[in-house]
Amino acid sequence: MGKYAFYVLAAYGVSALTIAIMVADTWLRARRWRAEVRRLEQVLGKTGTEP
Amino acid sequence: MITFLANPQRFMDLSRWLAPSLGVLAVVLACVGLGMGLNAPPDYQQGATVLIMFVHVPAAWLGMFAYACLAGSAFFGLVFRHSLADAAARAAAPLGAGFALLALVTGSLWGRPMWGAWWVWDARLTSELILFLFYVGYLALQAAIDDEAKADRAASILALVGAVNLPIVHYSVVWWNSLHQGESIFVKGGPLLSAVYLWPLALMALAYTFGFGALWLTRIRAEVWRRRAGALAVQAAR
Repeated sequence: MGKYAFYVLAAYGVSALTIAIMVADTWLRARRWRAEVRRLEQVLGKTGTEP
Repeated sequence: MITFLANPQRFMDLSRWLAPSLGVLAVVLACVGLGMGLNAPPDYQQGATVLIMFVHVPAAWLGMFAYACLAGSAFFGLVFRHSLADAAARAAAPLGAGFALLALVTGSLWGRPMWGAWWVWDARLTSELILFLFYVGYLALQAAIDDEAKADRAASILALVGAVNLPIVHYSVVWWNSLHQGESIFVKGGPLLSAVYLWPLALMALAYTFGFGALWLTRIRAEVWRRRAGALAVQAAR
């Protein structure tokens, strides 16, 4: 990569970091709300309808 | 298809296996695309900076594609008042904002060594920045209004207004004299890119698209659960 290594590595690093943040945020959000639905269904004595 | 997916239970059944499948496909395509791309020879003019293309172009494409998904969902939400369409719009916005920001940052990292400047007020760059600001505006408007139905309606109108910017971003390099490279893939007579760059770029674009699909579906599922949790919490409080 020679004299352009900083720019190339920075572009790939920023891309990896941004995508990792998007994946983590999406996964944690889904996990949180699915758990909340299950908890409330248990409180109300309902059987889960969500897959 | 849209009527079929408008049923939340049917959507949840479908997205349960479709989201992880798209995610796996995205990882496989990205591994192959990066393997090919990072072994491509340096460009005779741009040297190794051409490698930035494999992360910059797919991010720019996804920034626009996600906005088209956002605007399409906003339209269906406004016209048919369907909660799943509103959930889809809400889910697309943060992802699209992320990709648009990524396109701006990686573009800046490519522009500095090639143009000698981190930023220029060029038509393509400026319209891409406006695209990002529309995402930010959508998210800010959603967050600013407590009533979810009103927030969805106001933000959807903003999303539809912002859709006007999509053809401007795409054709900016045609309509105005631009420092940014012109159209080089979908041109008359075939792509102007050499196959050693074109194939990895196509694979990376597909990987980003499938990755977006996986994340979008998962976020819509999370939004459906969030709304269901809200409804159940009201029942539990009675």
